[in-house]
Amino acid sequence: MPDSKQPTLWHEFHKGILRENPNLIGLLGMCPVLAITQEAKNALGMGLATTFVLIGSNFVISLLRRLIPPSVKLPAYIVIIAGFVTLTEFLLHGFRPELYSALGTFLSLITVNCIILGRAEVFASKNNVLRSVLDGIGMGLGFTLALLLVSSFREILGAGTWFGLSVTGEYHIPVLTLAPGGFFALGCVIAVIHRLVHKEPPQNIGCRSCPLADSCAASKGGCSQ
Amino acid sequence: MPDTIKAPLILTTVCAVVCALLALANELTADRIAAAEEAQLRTSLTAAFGEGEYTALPEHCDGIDQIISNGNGTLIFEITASGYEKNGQHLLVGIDSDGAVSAVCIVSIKDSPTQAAAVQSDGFLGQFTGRTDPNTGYDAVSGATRSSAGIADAVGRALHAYQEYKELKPDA
Repeated sequence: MPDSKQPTLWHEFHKGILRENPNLIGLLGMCPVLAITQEAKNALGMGLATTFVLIGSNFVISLLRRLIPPSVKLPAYIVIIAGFVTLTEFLLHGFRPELYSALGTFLSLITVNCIILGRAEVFASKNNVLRSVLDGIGMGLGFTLALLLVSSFREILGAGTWFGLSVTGEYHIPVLTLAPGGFFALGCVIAVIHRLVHKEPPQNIGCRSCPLADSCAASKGGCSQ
Repeated sequence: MPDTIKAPLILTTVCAVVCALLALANELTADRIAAAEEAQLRTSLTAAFGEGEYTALPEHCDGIDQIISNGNGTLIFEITASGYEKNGQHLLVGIDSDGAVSAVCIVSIKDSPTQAAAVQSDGFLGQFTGRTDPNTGYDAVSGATRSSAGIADAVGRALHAYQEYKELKPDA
């Protein structure tokens, strides 16, 4: 008999896109958001590659959740995630070599992206396959959206182009394509998204103030403070 | 089954299954990856040294993956070097018949996109053109020091290999 308190499948899918966006609300996986967002084209590729790994790892980890003992779950999850990342590398190297070269070392570093390990630990290891896959799709799309917003901000204002097409011609602010511009663009996008979802600063610092507390507390053994 | 046996057994099984599936994926994509790398090398050769008939030479020198001739006296040294990632730089260094560097071309680089873009500028790569001495210094790009060092090391290796090749084949 289904649990009446369990969120709907639609909720599992769409929560990661905006309200519990892993980057812009959860502030996880910030390294690629700063490093790979000079061009929207590369950001889209990185977002889709990460989404593929998220969906695949959530699917397999949810499928094996009753088999893997707690004492070895973290190394087992890392092996599964690294397997999907290596598969993604093979596919991009063979079918999209220009994107493979553009993403450089950050493609391999998807393995240690804390969004993926976080969703495996917080969600996929405690929920069924369908919910875990929907969670992976939603979180992956949320991550891709964050990369696209930050990269569009930086590429349009910093280089005067968008997906390589000229937008503002010679009028642009080159510092936005550099590291300080990445922090500035990310801060602006986070401010706008928090305003849109009416996210207030936490009143008390603690586990319950975490933006992801609802999904975490809803799971057995999750956040309870 | 006790957890002391079950846990390592399951972890080993997970590792073995993932390795087997990756071996299968490698088998299925290896030809495609080799073709993509060949096409990327061909594009880089044409962009840096112009259209022509490129032939891989049978001679081998230390620190060089392959020596390629373009038929008009320039020898092109294909080199794998290390920047921020070990063996992450794939480069071509052309040396003309006078023993001077004619062009340096980056086929692929696995350092971060910012560092890769910094060392691919004409200003950095252009400083090696005309160089004949492998021990000459270079100006590194700020923020991409190890990427710069990898490329400078590759140019030095190419010049050493050129001298080695000329000792082997003085008439070539």
